[in-house]
Amino acid sequence: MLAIRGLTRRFGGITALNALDLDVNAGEIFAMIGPNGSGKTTLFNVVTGVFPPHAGRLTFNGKDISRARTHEIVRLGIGRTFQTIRLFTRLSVFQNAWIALKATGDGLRAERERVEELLRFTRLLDRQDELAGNLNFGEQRRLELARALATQPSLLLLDEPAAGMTYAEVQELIEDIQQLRATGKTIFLIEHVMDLVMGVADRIAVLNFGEKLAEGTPAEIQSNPRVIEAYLGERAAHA
Amino acid sequence: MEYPAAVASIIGIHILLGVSVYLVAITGQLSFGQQGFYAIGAYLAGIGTAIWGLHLVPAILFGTTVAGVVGFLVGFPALRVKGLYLGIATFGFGEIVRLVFLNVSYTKMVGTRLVGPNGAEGFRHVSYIYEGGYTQTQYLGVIYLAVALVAAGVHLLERSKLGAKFRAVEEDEVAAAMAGVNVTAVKVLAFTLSGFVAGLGGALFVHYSTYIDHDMVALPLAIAAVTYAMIGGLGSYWGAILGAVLLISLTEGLRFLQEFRLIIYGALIIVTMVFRPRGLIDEGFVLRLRALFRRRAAPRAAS
Repeated sequence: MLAIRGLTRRFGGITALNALDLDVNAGEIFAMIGPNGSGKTTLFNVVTGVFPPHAGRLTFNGKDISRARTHEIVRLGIGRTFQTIRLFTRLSVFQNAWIALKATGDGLRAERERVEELLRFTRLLDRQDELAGNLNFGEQRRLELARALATQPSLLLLDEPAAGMTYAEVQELIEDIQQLRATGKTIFLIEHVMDLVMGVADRIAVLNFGEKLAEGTPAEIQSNPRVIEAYLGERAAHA
Repeated sequence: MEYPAAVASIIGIHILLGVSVYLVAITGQLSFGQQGFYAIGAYLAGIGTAIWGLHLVPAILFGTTVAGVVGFLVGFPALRVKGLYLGIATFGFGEIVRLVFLNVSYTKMVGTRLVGPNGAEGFRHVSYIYEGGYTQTQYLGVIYLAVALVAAGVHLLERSKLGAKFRAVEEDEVAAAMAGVNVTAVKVLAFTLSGFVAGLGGALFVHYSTYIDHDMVALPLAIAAVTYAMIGGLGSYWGAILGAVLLISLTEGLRFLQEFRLIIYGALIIVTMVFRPRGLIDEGFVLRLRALFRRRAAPRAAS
C-alpha cells in the first residue's frame, strides 16, 4: 500500500533518514519504534508532504507522492495524528472534525451526521460544542483521531498516540485501533509505549539513526539482539 | 454638510477597512497594506465616474474588482512570509501603490475644470454625487447598503466550513493541511476578499469626499485599519465593526482635546492588548454569547 524506497532526508549536516526502504501492506497494523531522534516523526513528515525528500521515492497505492502537497496526499487517503497535539483550539470540537470531513456534496445534514458518528466513536459527542482548547488531554488526543478519521483515510498514521496516557487509556486506545483495523483501515504507528506496540502490531520496524535496524513480528523484534542493544536493552536496564 | 451624516459615512467606510483586515487576520496574515487596496478602489472608481462618465455602480464595481485582483496577486508573495515580516511586506505594497498615485497624472478637461489624478496635487472633483443632485443622507444609505452586503457575505463565510478553515489555517497550517485544507488557496482567497472589501471602502470614500491624494492613503490609514480589527476583536466580524465605531466615535468625541486625543487612543490600544489580546469580541466571548442564546432557545424548543 505504502512503498518507501531509498528515502533520504537531511537537515543541515544531519541525515535524519538514510536510504530507507519500507513497505506497509494493506490491512495490517505496522509499528515503528526507535530511540528519540532516530527519524520516526521525520518519516511521517516526509510521507505527508510536510518536507520533501532529498532522495528516494514514495508511492501510495501505486501513485508517486514524493512531491505531492499535504492536502493532496490527504485526499488520496492518508490521515495522520501528531506527536504533540495540534488541534484548532479556538474552533469547537465539532468544527475541528467538520473541516476535515471529506467533501461528498451530500448536504449539511449528512455531514453533521457523519461528524457526530465520528465523535460518538471517539466518545466526544457530548463535548461537541466546547472549544477544542478546553478539552482535557485524553479528549484532545481522541479529537485528533476523530479529525484524522474525518478525512476518510485508508492509511492512518498515528504518531505516538499513547504518549502521556494512563494504563486504562492505553487499553481503550488498543481497542480503538483494533476496531479501526476491523473496518478495513491500515494503520502505521510510531510508539514508545511497548504495551501498545506489542499488543496490537502485526509487524514492527526498528529505526536507529535514520536507518532500519530490524523488521519483523513482535516476537522476532523482542528477541533480536541488535534491537535489544540499541533500544529495548537500554529500557530494560532502567527497569 | 451635516456633521452626524459625515461621521456616519466615515464610520461606514472604515468598517469596510476594518473588515478587510479581519478577513486576512483570521487566516493568520497581518496586513499593513490595506490602504493600498483602498487607494486602488478610490482612484479607479473616481476615474470611472469623473473622467469616463460612468454611472456610480459600475465605477465602484470596477475599482473594487481591480482591488480584488490586486489582492489575489499580493496573496502569492504573502505566502512566503509570516507575522511582522508580512506586516512590513504588505506595508511595502501599500507604499508602492501610494507612490504610483503620487506620480501618475491622468487628467481631462471636463467643462471648465481639470479632472483626474494629478500627481501630488491629488485627485479633485470626483463630484458625481453632488452633480447628480443626491443628498448626503442618500449617499449614506448607499454606503450602509454596501456595508450590509459585505457583512452578510462575511456572516455566511463565518458560518460555513470555509470560514472554519480560515481559522484553522491561522492556528496551525500543517494541521490544517493534514485536515485536507488547501492552505495556499485559503490564504490567497483571504487576500483577494480583503482587497475587494478595502477597495470598496476606497471607492465609496472618494465619492463621499470628492477628493483623494496620496497622503490620505499612507501609514496612518494602515494603522487605523489594523487597530479596528485588533481592538474590536477577532472572534467575529462584529469585532471589526465595533472597533471602527468605537474608535471613530472616540476620536470625534475627543476632538476638543486636539493632539492629546491621539495619546488616549494609543493608551487604549495598549490596555486592550494587555487585557484582551484577541480584542473585545474574542472567541471566548462569541462562545459564551452563543451558549446564552442556546440556553434561551432550549426551553422554547422543549415546550
